[in-house]
Amino acid sequence: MKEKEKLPGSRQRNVVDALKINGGVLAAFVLIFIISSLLNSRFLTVNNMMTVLRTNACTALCAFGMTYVILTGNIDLSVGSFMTLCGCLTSILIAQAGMHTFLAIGLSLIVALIFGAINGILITKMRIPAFIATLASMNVLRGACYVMTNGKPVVFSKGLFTSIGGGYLGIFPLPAVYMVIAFVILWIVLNQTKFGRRIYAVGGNQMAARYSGVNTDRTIIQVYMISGFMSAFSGILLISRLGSGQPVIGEGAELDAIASCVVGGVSMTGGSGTLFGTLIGCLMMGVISNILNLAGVNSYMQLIVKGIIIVLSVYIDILRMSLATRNKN
Amino acid sequence: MEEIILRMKDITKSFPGVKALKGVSMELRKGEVHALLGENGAGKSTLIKCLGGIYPIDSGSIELDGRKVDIRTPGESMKLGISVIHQELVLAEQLTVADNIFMGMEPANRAGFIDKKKIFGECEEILQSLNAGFHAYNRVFTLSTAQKQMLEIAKAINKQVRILVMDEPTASVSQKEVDKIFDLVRRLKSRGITIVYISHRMDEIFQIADRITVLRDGSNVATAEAESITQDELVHMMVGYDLEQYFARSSRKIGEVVMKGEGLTRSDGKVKDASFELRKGEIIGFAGLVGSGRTELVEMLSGIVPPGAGKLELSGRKVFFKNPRQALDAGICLVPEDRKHEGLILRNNVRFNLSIGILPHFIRWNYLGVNRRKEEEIAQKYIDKLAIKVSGQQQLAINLSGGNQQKIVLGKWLAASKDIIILDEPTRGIDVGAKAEIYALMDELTNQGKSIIMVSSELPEVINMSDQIYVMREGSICKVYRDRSSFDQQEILRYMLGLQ
Repeated sequence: MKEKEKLPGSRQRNVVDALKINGGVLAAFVLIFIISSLLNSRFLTVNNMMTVLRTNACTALCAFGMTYVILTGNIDLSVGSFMTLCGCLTSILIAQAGMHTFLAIGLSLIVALIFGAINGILITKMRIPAFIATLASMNVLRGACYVMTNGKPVVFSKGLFTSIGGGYLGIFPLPAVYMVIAFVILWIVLNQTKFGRRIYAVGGNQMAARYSGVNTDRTIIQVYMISGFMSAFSGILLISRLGSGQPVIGEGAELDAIASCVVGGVSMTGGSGTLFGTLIGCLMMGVISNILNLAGVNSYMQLIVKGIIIVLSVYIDILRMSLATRNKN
Repeated sequence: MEEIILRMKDITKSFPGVKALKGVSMELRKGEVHALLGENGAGKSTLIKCLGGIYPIDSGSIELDGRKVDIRTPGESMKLGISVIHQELVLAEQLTVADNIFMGMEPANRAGFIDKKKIFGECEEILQSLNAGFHAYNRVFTLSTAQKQMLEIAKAINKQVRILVMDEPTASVSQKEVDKIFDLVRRLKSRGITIVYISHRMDEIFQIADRITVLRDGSNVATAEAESITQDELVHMMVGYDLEQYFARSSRKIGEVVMKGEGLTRSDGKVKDASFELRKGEIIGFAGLVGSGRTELVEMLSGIVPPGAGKLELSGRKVFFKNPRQALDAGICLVPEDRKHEGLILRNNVRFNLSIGILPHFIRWNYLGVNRRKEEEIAQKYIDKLAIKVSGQQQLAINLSGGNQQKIVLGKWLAASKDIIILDEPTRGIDVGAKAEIYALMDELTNQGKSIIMVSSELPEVINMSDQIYVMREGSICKVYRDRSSFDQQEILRYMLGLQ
């Protein structure tokens, strides 16, 4: 390929770079999409596409936050608990305290930010490994939610709150709209700001970042706040869509989010990966489970397929990497 | 030249159980190259980490331009114009050169948005002024060690550095690239930047330094003008005693050929058609630049990478090693270049590391039931034999100095009594005293009838220790010296560089 006058840092170069990095997952996604369209006539319909978007928007929101966390070389297992806690908290505030919907959502998101910060503080200031710290907060937050709700669903009436997660903008389900907005904002933050560079720096080499004067602790605390915020928002949407505050939602959501990142090519050791990759990874998992649904494959089978996809996508990535290093030599 | 820019006075620093600095004082003049010398553990690294804000000092004072300063974090040190290039390069490998150079000080507007054009533009400018030979958008993992070293320098320049501390910048860099780094150091000096230069290589220090400060055991022994001091005096100051014979060599009784390689070739092309002979009781040295295929060759000999073509014979018997286990069973062991990652289990203790190669010697009944007493005996035997300085068998390998770590890797294979020992850069990053001990040990091993293959980038070491020298260049052996009397340092260097 001829390297034309692609100025480093120019938009053109960015697009080329992004394609280079995400080419594999994008190609896989397109392939699966085409095969699905050919296999089942009910797949490529507006209705079905909207279903795919609606059912996966919540996972995508969590996965975006998770991408930030993983890029710093950490992990967040408490995502599902944030969903439950903040979702149920919102419904209690609305249904039982009679609070205004937006105020209730705002309060719940603030709670999420606080607990996110606590996650970050446990990891940075108290030096508890991220896996363990968030495993602990996963239990604590879910427990808190059960205590708060007494383990029973919180019932609320149809109204503003239900339409926030269940409504539509034209033909587009609102969660999908939020997903797009969140993607754009988070993409800009990650790629165009100082904070974004620092996330990559911390994950790329925490020591280098610290020696370069980056406040690594603060960066890590901030990504956990973002992850908490995103998952809480996702939980609020889910509960609004379901129509009642179920304390059991979000079980395993952290694993779906991690899977999206991994399939999307985000390195678990940090420092490498893109938000776009995560989005495609999430949509790919969504499309696969959708086509399996349409084909009448039961959900137990689907779990097996999911697992195989994760292994395959990472293995292909490893092959690509070793091929690239061989070419280099 | 006489203007004093930085003055460190009576610096002390303690860690749990150790007093690393016991009142060190040092003065830096503007625009000088000031070498900092001392054995490992003498306090050099601690001192520069204090200067770089990694460790806060316990007592003493640091004055910059005659004004007392308080350095508590890397950020504060940087703001004062002090930049430290650490020995273990700290770079984010996955990121681009530009990302690394601007890390922590990305040009951004008030809202925090970065200016990518500016970053790449300024970065290219710096790289060009350094004649670096790589670009802002290159990812760091694609660079060579010397290029990474230059990237660290570029990073420091970008921070408007006034005092640049370089901790063993040439430790894993070949001769040709050393010259490039020196060139750069001289240019920085001419810009009025003060350089603190730490190295174990004596010849380098005399080439580059204006003044030399020697540390020993957490105190400074002396500061001297480089011109007014000899190498022997320096060594004496560093270790506190005279080194009678640096390179140990007894008269060797060389026997029959024990290992023979013919036309060894790797399928990845990193080694082409390499042939050699190793006799009982001798040391053969492989000289060459970094990347010339020496490490790749010994990887074939030790079963890490099976050869793609060619023949390997042990005492006339053809062998083919598919994995390191087979090579070990045949009596060949490798002391790898990267001892921290490939030679030791750092987070485990000295005893564990010494005995890991000989588990069946003290674990009975089908690998059940550890005979702890026997294991301790074996470990103690090699700790004593190799004079490894440890606080006890339980000390973790990670807390030892480079020289002692290397001795443990050696001890591991001595315990396993292998006949052919391959040493890849055996003295890299090891101080003078420990080097002499390693040389003596190598000599003793040959006396016991063992054969040694040594890969080394230090020519004096290759020339003084070897019985035969093979010079490698671009994957092939380009010159063989079969006889000690024919060794010629200048000629070897020319072959290494491809000038002959």
